[in-house]
Amino acid sequence: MKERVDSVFLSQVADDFLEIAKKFNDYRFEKISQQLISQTTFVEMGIKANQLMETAREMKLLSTLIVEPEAGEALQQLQGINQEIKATITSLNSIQIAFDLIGTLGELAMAVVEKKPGSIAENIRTIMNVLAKKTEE
Amino acid sequence: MVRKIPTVIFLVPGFLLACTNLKPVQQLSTEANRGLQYFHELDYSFASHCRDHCYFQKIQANTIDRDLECKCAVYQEADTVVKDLFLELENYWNGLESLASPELARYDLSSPVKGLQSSKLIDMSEAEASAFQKLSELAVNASTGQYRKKRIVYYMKEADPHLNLISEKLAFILKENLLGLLEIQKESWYAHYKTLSLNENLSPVEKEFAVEKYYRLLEDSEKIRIRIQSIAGLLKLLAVNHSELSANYQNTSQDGFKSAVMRLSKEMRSLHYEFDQLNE
Repeated sequence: MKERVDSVFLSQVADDFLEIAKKFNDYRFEKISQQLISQTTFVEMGIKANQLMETAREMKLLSTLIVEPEAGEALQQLQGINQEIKATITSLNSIQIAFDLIGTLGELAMAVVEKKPGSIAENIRTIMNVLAKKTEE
Repeated sequence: MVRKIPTVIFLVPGFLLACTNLKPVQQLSTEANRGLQYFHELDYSFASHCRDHCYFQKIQANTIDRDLECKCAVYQEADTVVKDLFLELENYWNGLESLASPELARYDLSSPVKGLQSSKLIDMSEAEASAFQKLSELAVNASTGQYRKKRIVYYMKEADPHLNLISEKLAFILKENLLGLLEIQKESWYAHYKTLSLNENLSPVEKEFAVEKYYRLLEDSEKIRIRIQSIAGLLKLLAVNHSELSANYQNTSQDGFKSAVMRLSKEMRSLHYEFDQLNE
């Protein structure tokens, strides 16, 4: 585990977010072409993926400008979560879980960028629950 | 505050200094300054990325306002960081070239030094911040202090770790963050145009237009990517060459160094070629 969350680390987390957003886009394009999701779900998933990308954008900027210590702690936890999401998102069968995953990750990301320690902790708990649900499937 | 030159410099035996040939420094710094000029031709910045993104968001939302009205202040701050780091490096290499030149031309540091004062925005690690400060101090020393040609090697040695850190930091920001933003933008384009291509309400001609537009955007972004990567590569290459020269100056044979500079020149020519190709 890294001792200091520096700009390099934050930039890597942003890259993770972009990769997850890409996988999520692949996922929704695949599901819509198989007519497994409605147009509304498809659009909403797109909004969530965009939200992730917006956060990645903010992280790249933060990485260039400044890194707050409270964001640092959350980022370290995020890295592990991101690895798991990246590894499994495309193989998720439950659309609802995929949707929950991307949604909670987006909210967590916003909390990191807005530097709200309370929301960060809360969102990490939520996302861990969603991940646990996924492993039960 | 101008840093005092370590006393040891004045005590260095004269015979060592007498062997000092400044030609390698002159060649390296001349090549460095030639290469750094390409930075001014990058034609892509955090702020320009912000405007592109803002413009694309209007397209996605299909909205027309009287003005574009993009909120790019934070992006401009990021550009200030890039500018400050770059000016610091450019300033150093310019100074080195002037110091090493036989004519010993004067060089003016006032504007880059002023630029540095706004660099408080940067959150750097302690080492990076100290590198930034030291490099500027060394440059000021070199220009305003009682210049002696022989001291140049010692300036280089002092400057070397700082030059390395700053070059690395700038290369990182350009390659990972500025290019990272471009990668995010590419995914936005992909999602948007792919959605259009699946839209059953669009005619085949309209879809064709969307496909063409998407690939054109990709092509343009590839040019930007090549430029930024070349500049980042150049920064690293210069730092490596600087380290080698400052570490082995006394031992560097004229021939050995000549071949190193020739390699650098070759890199510079290919950089020049790349930029020329991209401008066509």
